[in-house]
Amino acid sequence: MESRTLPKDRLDQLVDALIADYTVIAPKDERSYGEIESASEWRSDGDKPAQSLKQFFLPERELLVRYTKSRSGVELVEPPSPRSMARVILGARPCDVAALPVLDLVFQWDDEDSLYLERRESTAIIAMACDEPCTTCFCASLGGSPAGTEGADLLLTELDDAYHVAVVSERGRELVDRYSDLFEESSVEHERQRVQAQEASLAKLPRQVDIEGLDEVLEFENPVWETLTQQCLDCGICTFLCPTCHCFDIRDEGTPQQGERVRLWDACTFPSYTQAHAGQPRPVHYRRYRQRIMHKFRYYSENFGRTLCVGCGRCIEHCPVGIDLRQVLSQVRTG
Amino acid sequence: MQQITSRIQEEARRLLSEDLVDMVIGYEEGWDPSTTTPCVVRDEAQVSRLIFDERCVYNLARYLVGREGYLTSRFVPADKRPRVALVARPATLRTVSVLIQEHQFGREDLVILGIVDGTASAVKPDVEVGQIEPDDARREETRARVGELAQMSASERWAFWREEFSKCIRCYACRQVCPFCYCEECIAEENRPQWIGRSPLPRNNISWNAIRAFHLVGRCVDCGECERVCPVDIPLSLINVKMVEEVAAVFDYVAGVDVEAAPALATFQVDDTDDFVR
Repeated sequence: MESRTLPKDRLDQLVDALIADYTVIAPKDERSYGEIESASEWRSDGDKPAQSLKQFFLPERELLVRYTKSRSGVELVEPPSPRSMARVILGARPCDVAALPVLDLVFQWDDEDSLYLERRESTAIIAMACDEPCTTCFCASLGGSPAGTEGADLLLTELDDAYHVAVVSERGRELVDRYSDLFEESSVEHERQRVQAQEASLAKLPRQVDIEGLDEVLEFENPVWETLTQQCLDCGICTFLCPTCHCFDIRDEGTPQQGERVRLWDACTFPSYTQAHAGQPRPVHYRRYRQRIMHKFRYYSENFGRTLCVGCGRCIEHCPVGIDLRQVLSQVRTG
Repeated sequence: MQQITSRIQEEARRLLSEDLVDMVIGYEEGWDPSTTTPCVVRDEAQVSRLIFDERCVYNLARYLVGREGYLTSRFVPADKRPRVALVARPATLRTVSVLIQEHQFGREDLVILGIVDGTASAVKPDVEVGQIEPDDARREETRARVGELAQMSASERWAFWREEFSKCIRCYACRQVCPFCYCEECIAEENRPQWIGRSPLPRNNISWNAIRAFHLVGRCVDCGECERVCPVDIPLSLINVKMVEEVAAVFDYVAGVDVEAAPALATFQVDDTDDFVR
């Protein structure tokens, strides 16, 4: 793969140049990624933020249309296209970035979801390889890696005195060309350091989980579901923090005369999810949890040929009661 | 701590083997070595899973109540509900006291394997399986932060909470982890009429968090679970502890120390100076 290096003392210059030209989003604090207005706002070390990148493509609340009813009829006003807003996401974790191609599959499946797809089109992604995986990370189980490039335009890897810059896509090349005075040609020594750094972080990955053939052994009728996660509280943490969970609800807010149609994140773990006139098809916990796992590791695979999980481990790290998806996956396998 | 684990296992084995309970709700090792997780042991042969140490923080009373709670489940007829033994930390003992006071279940419905720390609690364990140090440091720190907030002007305080609540993503983990949030249908889910806007907008988040706080007045025993689980680090204990202090000051009432007492907000006096209660 084509590559460059960026001397460490030029990183801030690159960030400032990007901020001058784009809306720049980067890890801001322990909680989330967010828009930064200066290089110092980027929290470039530390664990991944609690929230993934999902909110920048599928906002937790998204306006679909404003409506006003008058004597002459109903006036509908759509929100401006997100395409007009050019963004760069900086320092994104490879797992968060790998989640985007997974989401693309569903948002252009039976219908083109224009708001989502326009945000994707107008956003370049500069990922940063992880040097210290968390104890909950299992990206390698899902085909990813702490230095995974899937979904990224550029991937930075921290070396001794510079960042190695892998040019992953055409859009990535446009970025290095645009700021060409900041980048240098990559040397053999830099390449050696990159390989060493990436191998070192791979070696630090904790216990992984075997998902080979999981879609075939996951059975709806398996009695193990009933007691598998009886300690689960049915909150929305795992789904809301998950970079690939994408279920939403559509609601009208306002009055019959005037208001907004919005879509909001929803979670299959909520007892109210899928509640309809006929009642609740998944009234008890284990049925809701079974849906979550079956969707991620069987139904999604059947529809799209890949799992709805990138192994970021947020659902494990933030579960209020210590439920570990890796354990769940090994238990449904052994029954 | 090791001793507490042995005592819990010993008692669990006795209760299950003598068929005195159907299940023991306790703690076990998580898959990741840094964590533990709540567990339900129904079989004597599984008793060795039960552990206790400083990682075992969860308030297990949560599993007793609510729509799917073991003692109150709407999906299980009353005569089919399990006989439960519960490993109870000090805050869980206080929680159980309030739940009994609120008639969620009777004292006789539960065998309590209690870990005590000297904090007042109306309900005493059936078996005291150990003693731990009180979590004074956490509670002191919370009280100190409540004090700092009280020093702020109203507009500063409002700005503080507006900022904190703007982070809320409405995952409802605070509600789900709370043993006192056992309503069959939460006001946040009611939609005819819709009392609380479902969108995670600042105004709706303030409504949600304020209404939940009001519903806990005179009930919260400061187990700290809501603050612990919040994925966006909203300092929820500051509200609840403030309310605990207000209720103590105004009504001379502390939740969890007297099962016979009428809950502060469920009673009134005919000579109350506020006439709206009459």
